[in-house]
Amino acid sequence: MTVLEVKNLSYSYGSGTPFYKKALSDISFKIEKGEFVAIIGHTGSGKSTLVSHLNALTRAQSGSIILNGEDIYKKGYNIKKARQTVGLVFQYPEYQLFEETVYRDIAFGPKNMGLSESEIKSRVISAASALEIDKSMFNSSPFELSGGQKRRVAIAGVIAMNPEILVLDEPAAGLDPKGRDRVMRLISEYRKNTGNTVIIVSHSMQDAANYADRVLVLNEGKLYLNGTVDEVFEKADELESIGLSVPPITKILIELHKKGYAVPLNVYTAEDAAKALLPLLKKEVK
Amino acid sequence: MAEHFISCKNVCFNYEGRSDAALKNVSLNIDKGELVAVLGHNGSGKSTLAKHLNGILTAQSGDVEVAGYNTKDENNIFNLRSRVGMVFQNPDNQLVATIVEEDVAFALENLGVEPKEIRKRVDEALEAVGMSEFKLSQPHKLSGGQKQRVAIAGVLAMSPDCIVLDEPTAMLDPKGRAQVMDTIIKLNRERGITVVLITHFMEEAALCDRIVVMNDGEVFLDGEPKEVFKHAQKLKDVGLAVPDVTSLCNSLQKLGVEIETSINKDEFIENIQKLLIG
Amino acid sequence: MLSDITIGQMFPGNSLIHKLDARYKIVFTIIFMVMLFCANSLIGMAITLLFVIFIYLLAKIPLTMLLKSLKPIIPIVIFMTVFNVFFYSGETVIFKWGIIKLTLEGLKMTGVMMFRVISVISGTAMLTYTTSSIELTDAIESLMSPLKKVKFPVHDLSMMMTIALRFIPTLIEETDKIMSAQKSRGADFESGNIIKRAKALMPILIPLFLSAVTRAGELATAMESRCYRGGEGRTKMKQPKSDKRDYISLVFMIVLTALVISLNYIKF
Repeated sequence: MTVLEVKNLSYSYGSGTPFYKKALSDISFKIEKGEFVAIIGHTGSGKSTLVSHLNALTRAQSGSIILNGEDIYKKGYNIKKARQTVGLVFQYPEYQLFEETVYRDIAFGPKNMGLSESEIKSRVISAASALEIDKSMFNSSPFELSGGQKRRVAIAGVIAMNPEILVLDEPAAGLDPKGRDRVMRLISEYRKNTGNTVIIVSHSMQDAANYADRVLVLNEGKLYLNGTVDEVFEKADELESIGLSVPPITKILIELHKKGYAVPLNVYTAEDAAKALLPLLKKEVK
Repeated sequence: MAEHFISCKNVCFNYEGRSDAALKNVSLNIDKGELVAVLGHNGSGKSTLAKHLNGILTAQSGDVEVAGYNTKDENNIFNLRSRVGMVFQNPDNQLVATIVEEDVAFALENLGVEPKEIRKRVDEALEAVGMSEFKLSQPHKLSGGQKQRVAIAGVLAMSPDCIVLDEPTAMLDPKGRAQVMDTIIKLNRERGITVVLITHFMEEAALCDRIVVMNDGEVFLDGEPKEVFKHAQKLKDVGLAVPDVTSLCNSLQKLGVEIETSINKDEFIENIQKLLIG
Repeated sequence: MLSDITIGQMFPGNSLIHKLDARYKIVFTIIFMVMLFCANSLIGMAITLLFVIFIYLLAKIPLTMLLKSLKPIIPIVIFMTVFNVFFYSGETVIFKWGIIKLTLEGLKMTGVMMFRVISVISGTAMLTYTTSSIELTDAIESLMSPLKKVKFPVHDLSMMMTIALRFIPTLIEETDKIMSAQKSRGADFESGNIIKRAKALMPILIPLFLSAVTRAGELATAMESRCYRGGEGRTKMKQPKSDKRDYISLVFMIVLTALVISLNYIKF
C-alpha cells in the first residue's frame, strides 16, 4: 500500500530577488507502507527542503503530496493531520529539548495531540523503551544527559506521536561510532517492531546500504536515482559523476573487478565481502 | 624535558561538580612535525586534553609543557597561544567577525601586529587553505567545510608551530570533511606544522602518523595507525571501531585467510591480489 | 520566513559611496538628518529627495531595494496619512463629511511627514547598504575614541556590536529551525489568547536561550585561544583612512544642507 506519493513537486525560494534559487524541481516518487528509504545527496541538493515538505512545514509552489490517499494541499485538509502522520526528526534534534524532565519532553508531542493522560503515559513509555531510555532517567533534566542520550530522547519525542511515517534528517550526525551504531540499530528495530515507514536523510552511503530497502539520490534539486540499494549502488560511475560514492567496501570490490577479478559488486559490508572473496582465493582455506 | 614539543606529565583534571575525573594521570609526548590523531568516545577526555595544550584549562596536578612554556605560566600565555592554534568543532561558534578576512586577522590584531604585516599574513593564510576567493564573504553564507577552513586560516595567520583541532569535521558533510582533512595534511606535510587532530572518524585517524586512543580519561593505546588498528576488539570495547578496510581484513582472517591487516584501500588491494585467482 | 529580513544587509560594490571612509559616512548621515528635518520649503524637500535618489544611483543600489526596505513601514505611513489628512484641524477646508474634514494644512502636514519618514529610512539604509558592519563598528569605535580618556569602554562596545552582528543571521536561522522542529511536534503558535500564545513560545525560547549560552561560551574559548585580551595593545588590519573624496563630500554635504536651510527663508 502506498502511504506517501510525491507528484511533480517544485519549490524555489526568493523569487524575484537576487537570491532566487530553485531548491526542488519536478520531484516524483512513491513510498510503500513499512519501507525503509534513504534519501542521499550533497548538502544543498534539496534533501532537507524535500523532507520539510512531507509534513507541510514548507509548501511547494507546484505539485502535490498525497498522504494515505489524501492530497495535503487540497482545500480543507487539516495540516495537523499531516504533522501527525509524518513525524519529522531534525538534524541535531537535541537542540529542541526544552522541558524540565525527560518524561515531559517526550510527552510534549502526544500532549499537543490532545491525548488522554493515560494514553500519553503509555506512549511515552513505549517510545522511551524503543530508544533504550531507562525509566530511571524520566525525572532527570534532559540537559544533564550525555550527547547520545539527548539525541535518543529527542527522537523518542517524535516517535511518541506514533507517526505512520518517521522521517529522520541525519539521525547519527556528530555521534561517536558506538553512538552512531546504536541510533541506527534502534531506528531499524523500531521499524521492524511497528511496521511503520522510515525515511532517513543521510550522507552515509554505508548507512543507506546497511539499513535501507530503497535509495533516493537527489542532486541539484532533482531526483537523480530511485531504486533498491543494489540498483543504485550498481551505478557507481553515475554516483561518482555527481560527487557521491558507493560504500567503502563496495569501492574495493569495484576496483578489484576493474582489475579483472570476478567479484560480485552488490556487497556492502566487511563480512559479506570476505565471504564473497573466499571462493576466489588461490589456496584452499582450512 | 625540553626535547619534546608537547609534553604532558601525570596530568590530572576534574571538572567542578563531577565525581569522575576527566583526565587521570595522563602522560604523553608529541614531537615537532608529528601528525597525531586522538581518538576516543564522547566523554573520554579527548577534548579536555586538547584544551590543556594551549592553557585554556590547566592541570590540577602534573604539568603540560608546550613549545618550552609551562601552560600554567600566565606571563607567557599569549606567547604559548600564538604558537599553538586551536580549531573547534562548531564552525559557527568560533568565527568572530562578519567578513572572512577580518576574522582571519583577529588573532594578529590581538597580538598587536603591524597593519601591513597583518594584511600580508592574512592573504597568505587564506591562500594556504584555498579560501582566497572568499575573503570578502560573510561567514554565515559559507558551507561548513569552508567555515572550518577559515577557522584554520585564522590560527594559521599566527604562524603557529602547532595546530590542535577538536573534532573539526564532526559537523561537516563528506565533501567538507575531505576539504578540511586535505588542508590539515597539507599544512603538516608542507610546512612541518605539528597537528593534533581529535576525531571520531577512523578513516581520518588512519591518515595520521600516530594515534592516541583515550578512554575514561586515560591513554588507552598509543602507536602507529597500523599497530593501533590491529586491536579491533579492544577498540570496540571502548566504543570505537576500525576503518572498513581493516574490518574486511579481520573478516577474512576470521575465515582463515592469511592476509596482513591493512588500513588503506590500496595496500589491501595489493595484498589481496597476491592471493586471488586471476 | 524570518530569513527575508534585508535591513542591515550590505550590498558589496565599488562605487564612490562604498569607498568613502565609514567615519565620514556616519557624519554624513547625521548631517543628512539635520538637512531633512530642517527642510520646510517645497524646493528644499525636493532637493533632499533628489539627493537621496542621486546617492542610490551613485551607489548602484537598485531603487527596488529601497522600496523593499520601506515595506515594513507601510502600515505606519497609512495610519499617519489617514490620521493627518482627516483629523488635522486646518482652516482651508477642501472637503467635509461629518467629523471628517480634509484640509489643505492636513494634506501639507501629511506630505511633510511622509517625506521625512521615507528620507530617514532611505538615508540610514544607504549607510548599511554600502558599509560592512565591521567598517561601521570600527568607525564608531574611532569616532568615539576621545571617550576612552574618560574610561568609557569604547573597544568593548564595538566588539559587542561586531559579535552581535555576526550572530544575528546564525540565530535567525536557528530560530527558524527550532520553530520548525517544535511545529513538527505539534506545537501551535498561532491560536489561543495572549497568555496561551506566550506560553507556546517557551519551547522556542528555552532551546534558543540555551544554545545562545553554549555559543557564547564556545566563542569566548575560541577568542581566548586566539589571544584576545581586550582592546589594549590591539592593532587593526584596516586603518581607517580618509582622503580627498571624503573632504570634498563633506564640503558638498555642508553646502547642500546650508542651501536647504536657507531656502526656508526665501520667499518666491
